[in-house]
Amino acid sequence: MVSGADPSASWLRGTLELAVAAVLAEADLHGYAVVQRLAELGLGTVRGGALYPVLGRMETAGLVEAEWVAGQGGPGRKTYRLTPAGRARLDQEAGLWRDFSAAMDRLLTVRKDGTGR
Amino acid sequence: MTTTLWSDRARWELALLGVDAALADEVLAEVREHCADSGERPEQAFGEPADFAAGIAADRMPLADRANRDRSGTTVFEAWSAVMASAALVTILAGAALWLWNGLLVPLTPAGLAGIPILYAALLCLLYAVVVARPLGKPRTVVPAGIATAVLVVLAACAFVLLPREAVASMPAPVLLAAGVLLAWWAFARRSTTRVIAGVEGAGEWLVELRGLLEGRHDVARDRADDLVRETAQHLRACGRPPREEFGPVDEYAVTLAHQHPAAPVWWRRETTRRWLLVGLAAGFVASAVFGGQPTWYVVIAVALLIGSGWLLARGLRGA
Repeated sequence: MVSGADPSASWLRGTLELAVAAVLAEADLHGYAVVQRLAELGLGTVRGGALYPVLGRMETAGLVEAEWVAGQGGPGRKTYRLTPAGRARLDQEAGLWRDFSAAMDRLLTVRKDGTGR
Repeated sequence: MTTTLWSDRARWELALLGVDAALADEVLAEVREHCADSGERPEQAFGEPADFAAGIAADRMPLADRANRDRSGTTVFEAWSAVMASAALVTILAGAALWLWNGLLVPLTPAGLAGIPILYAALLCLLYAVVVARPLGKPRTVVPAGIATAVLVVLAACAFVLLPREAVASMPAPVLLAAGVLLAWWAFARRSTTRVIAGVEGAGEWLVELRGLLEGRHDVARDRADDLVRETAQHLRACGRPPREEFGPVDEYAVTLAHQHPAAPVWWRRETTRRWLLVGLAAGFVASAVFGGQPTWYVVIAVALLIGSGWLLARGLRGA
């Protein structure tokens, strides 16, 4: 349920946990603010149906912790914070992502140049 | 564990989770192929059969199908079938017992005519509370159904005690047996229908349904379910879109969300409770065999059942 019919929607679906961790490394945010931040970064609109199962999985795994913060006159908001374990996982996966991304770039460059096998 | 034994156990676990035979054949063929190519044993490559089956159900069963099942793989249709089958069994046993004790014709008394249907209604209420309410996504109806059961039992007791017990008519006992058989046939022969809840559109109704499904069908702890629904409501207010557009069909969202959180089943839905119950029944069987002066072969069967159920319980407690 990552919106959009373009292929990047399915790429984001596969990497949503990493993207959410990276956004939460910037600041503690509630769910909808995570959606807005991802959209600002040009990653498309993530639907709640895709986001909250990922946040739930990360919470169960101890990568994020959640706290209800009282709103100004309105209902409270559940705010997520990256835990030290989540930060360590983010650092590890960011390194792996760079390797993966570089390998993908090489593959696509080789294909474009016509120098591949 | 041999590949064959592992495959048999995995097939059993897959069937319990509602994975159809074609998909089970396909994934078990993949397991055999992998093990033949790699030289690994199945538990090395794929883990315990139960974990393997859970992974297959999560990854390869259609979401709409998974959404219709609780964590043990039971659908609402199957839960209702279990209720009907239980009612059928009680009817058949009652018919057979009355035939044995009273002969072909069973005397009908005002006490019995009032008390037995009330007792039967109490049984149905109890079965609804224990078997159906939670898979149906209506966990809040368990307590009212339990209270209704207690009230009906009291009413039935009053009917048996207070109403006349002189026969006013008689009925052939096989009628009850036939009714039980008919009910059993209906329980097993009726065709599966899926309750249509995917069409729930209004935010309030959608959130109520989500809460019931999380706690009831998918055994998410009550506080956690409340928390998740509150967060979902907050998101809906912030984004201003209808729930179905933002989260999809409520039953599909419920299963996706619930499986990211630990299961917290109520005591009567825990596997260990069922195994304790089995041990209790087997112990009762042994006691009745020993103290009832039954023949040796009967006692041996009862003791074997007790040992078997005890072994199952020990396995369950070790794995818990």
